[in-house]
Amino acid sequence: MSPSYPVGAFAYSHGLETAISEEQITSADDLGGWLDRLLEAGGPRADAIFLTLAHTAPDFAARDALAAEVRAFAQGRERLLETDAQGTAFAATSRAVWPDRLGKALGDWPYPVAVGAAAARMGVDRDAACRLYLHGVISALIAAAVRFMPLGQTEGQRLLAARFAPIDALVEESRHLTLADVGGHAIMADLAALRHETQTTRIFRT
Amino acid sequence: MTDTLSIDRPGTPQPPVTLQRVRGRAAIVQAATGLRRLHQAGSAKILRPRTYGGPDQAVLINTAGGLTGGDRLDVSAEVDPGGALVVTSQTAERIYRSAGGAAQVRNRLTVGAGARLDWLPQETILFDGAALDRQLDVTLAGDARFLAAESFLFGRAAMGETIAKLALSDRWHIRRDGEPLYRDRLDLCLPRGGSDPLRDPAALAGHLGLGTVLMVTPDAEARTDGLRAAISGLEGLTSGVSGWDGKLLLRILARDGQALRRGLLAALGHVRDDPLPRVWHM
Repeated sequence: MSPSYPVGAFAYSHGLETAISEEQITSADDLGGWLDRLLEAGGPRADAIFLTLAHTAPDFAARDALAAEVRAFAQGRERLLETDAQGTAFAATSRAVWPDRLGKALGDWPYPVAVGAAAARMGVDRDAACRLYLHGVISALIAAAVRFMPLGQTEGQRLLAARFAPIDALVEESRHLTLADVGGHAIMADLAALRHETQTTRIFRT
Repeated sequence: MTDTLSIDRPGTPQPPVTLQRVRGRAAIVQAATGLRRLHQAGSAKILRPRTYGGPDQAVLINTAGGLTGGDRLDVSAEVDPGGALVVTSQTAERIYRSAGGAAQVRNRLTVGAGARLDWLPQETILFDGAALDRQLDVTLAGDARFLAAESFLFGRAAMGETIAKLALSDRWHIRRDGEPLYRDRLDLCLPRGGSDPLRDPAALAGHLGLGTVLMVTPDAEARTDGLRAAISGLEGLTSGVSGWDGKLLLRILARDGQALRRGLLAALGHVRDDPLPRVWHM
């Protein structure tokens, strides 16, 4: 999962654009805390479980069924858009780059399902795939925040480095979880994503 | 159990109390022509008030007056093809401090093709020390219409109670024609190392009320602006609305119980054509 992999991650803020413009997040510390809650009790935690289940799923049909469940978990139009659009872009690129190994293995699935499936087919182990995915998601959110917060690139990297431990904890925790374990309480983060739909000035798609 | 038990009063010592376990089971089946089946056992009862215009109503009552650890309540409501039913509850449900284990609530709803079910229980009030494990399983057929509103109050602010201990799991699982349509799960446990979900800015941010309204309707997208307008300007609310894939979702965080109720009344008054059950106005 190269950062240059063209999934368009730069276009999605997971509601951060709203939370920042409404001043729920005004400092690097606020942003760090917000990201920690997402990892503990929000979308990224659920994604880690979805990726794990996609990685261990036996075949295409099982991953297709998982994709339908994952879509049902989306809390709003833009949450569905960000996972579907990035997953579809990831799958299209991966099929084109590795036609023999991934050509028929990936459907147009939500992002964590597509990544988990591709990793399994390419022989990348679950822990590594999950860690890379979470680093990618958190990096993209920090990059988004840097664009409209008084936050320098160095401070952004410092924030990311401070998330390595919680990411490792989630990689560990999610190893044996199932759909029944998906759950959380990042409600204000969810509300921000919902309100993003009607935000008048917006740079990001979500 | 009543509200006046000493275990429920904040600030008083908590004596070990052995309460009789609550068991309740209620089931109603509504046909296109009216009631087809009614079953009630234990502390679960169903009242069927006379209605004037609008669908038939079923009012759930937990005669135990609340739930605590180890209690179990099962409710099922089924609407046959072409039928219509509104299910609500007589009062807010109280989840008392648990001496061990969680109160288990299982709500199963089935709505046939061309049928309509409104699931509109009143608030669930979580006392300090409450443990609740609740599931809402919904099976829809074809063009069934479904509306659900559920809400939580975290502690009784009016009595100065704050929640220090809580174990809450609330799961929604809605399927249509066998396919997953909407899933959600709230997991909130206290105390928790690091952050307090009730105060954390990305979690509840100090709000005491949480409400969810979900409507399954083919014109969900077209209804979003109207619903947003209906709740905009209400004091003490932070909310969000979305319409996608035949689902209309409203999430509310409310400063207190009154703000929560104002938001729910405004939202339900807007999305529904017939008057809300009378119990909502008492």
